[in-house]
Amino acid sequence: MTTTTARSAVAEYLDRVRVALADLDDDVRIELLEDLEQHLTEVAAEGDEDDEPLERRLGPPECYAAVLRVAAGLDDAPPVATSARRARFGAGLWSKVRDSSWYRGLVAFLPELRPGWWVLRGYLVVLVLAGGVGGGSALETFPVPGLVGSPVLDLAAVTGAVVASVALGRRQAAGDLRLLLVLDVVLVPLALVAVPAVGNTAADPYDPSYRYGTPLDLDGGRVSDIYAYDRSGALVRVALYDEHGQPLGGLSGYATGGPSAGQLITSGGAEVSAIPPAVVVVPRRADEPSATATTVRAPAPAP
Amino acid sequence: MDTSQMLKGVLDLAVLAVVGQEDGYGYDIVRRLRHAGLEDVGDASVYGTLRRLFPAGKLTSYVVPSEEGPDRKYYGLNAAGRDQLEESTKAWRSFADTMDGLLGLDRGAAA
Repeated sequence: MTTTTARSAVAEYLDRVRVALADLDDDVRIELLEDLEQHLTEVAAEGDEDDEPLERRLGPPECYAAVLRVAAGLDDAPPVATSARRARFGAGLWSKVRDSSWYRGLVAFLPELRPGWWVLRGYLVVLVLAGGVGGGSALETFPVPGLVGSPVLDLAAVTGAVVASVALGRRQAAGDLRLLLVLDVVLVPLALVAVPAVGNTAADPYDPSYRYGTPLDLDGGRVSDIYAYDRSGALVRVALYDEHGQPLGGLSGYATGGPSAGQLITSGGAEVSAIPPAVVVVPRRADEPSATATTVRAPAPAP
Repeated sequence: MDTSQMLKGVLDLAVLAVVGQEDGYGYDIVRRLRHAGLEDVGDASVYGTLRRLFPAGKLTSYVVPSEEGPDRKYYGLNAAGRDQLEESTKAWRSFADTMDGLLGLDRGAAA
């Protein structure tokens, strides 16, 4: 028998023993198998590997590992100290909860929700990237976050992210990629914030009736924007209220170049409580480019 | 009941006894146990016992370099190991006597 044959037989046997003990902690396993290689080499040296292979003499490596585990005392019950410590922390109540059927049913069910989390996680990543968590303009194109502005590309981005997230999730379930747990820890609070935000903005922002407040009509036409100028001709941001104290609504604020109603008036940083009569430029209709200058007396501010 | 069942309880004592007679390495200890009559003793059982007794503080160990293969790790008894050997021997003696009495095997006992 050549030494190389013996050495490779030992190496193979040792490997299979190691695999059979893979569930042990690394340092426990390493310490346990410390001199096994030397031991197996001695055993191999005594016999002839061709006539009587190691496996026949020692039994299958898996059985060897099982006997080894027991002889080394690794199957023992947990030490008494742990049980005492757990009892001290009022574990009596906790173990009652843990043993109850509803708790066990719940714990058994939770893994089924995991794939749903993977899908949500992929969507959330794109949503965060699109800056949509604050309910901003990225959600105008709900349900697809406006990452690059193109519907096709955005949808592709969401699909890709969901697919990637599910693929990673399945690998996580297999035990790999424990670092991705960090991603989940970050995204769960984001999910709690994002989902309500999505709910609030899931409406057509251009629909005036969505906004609270009284729609403003002037001479039979709907007013879409009000720009206020003070006596010196400077543009002032205004908040306008009707006689009921309700903010004048129905103003989209999306016209270019001007402030939208509903903004607080500030002058030098301080809130202005009363507005002297001012010249206001009011477009007659939303689609009419021409405008008419009108004098409007601002009402008293709402209580 | 074959000897392997009975051996499980006393393997520690047997290993301590063999190592107490003379320091030995793994396979050497297996050989000596078998030579002494415990033919069924398993290789894995002995190796596992050694890997338990050593961290339990009953054995010393040292490495002897060897030209033909991996260096050999020898085990020997330390003071704690010697104490345990003595105690376990007494316990064995007492247990064996009790069993002898139970089975009617004790010598010189009145019928």
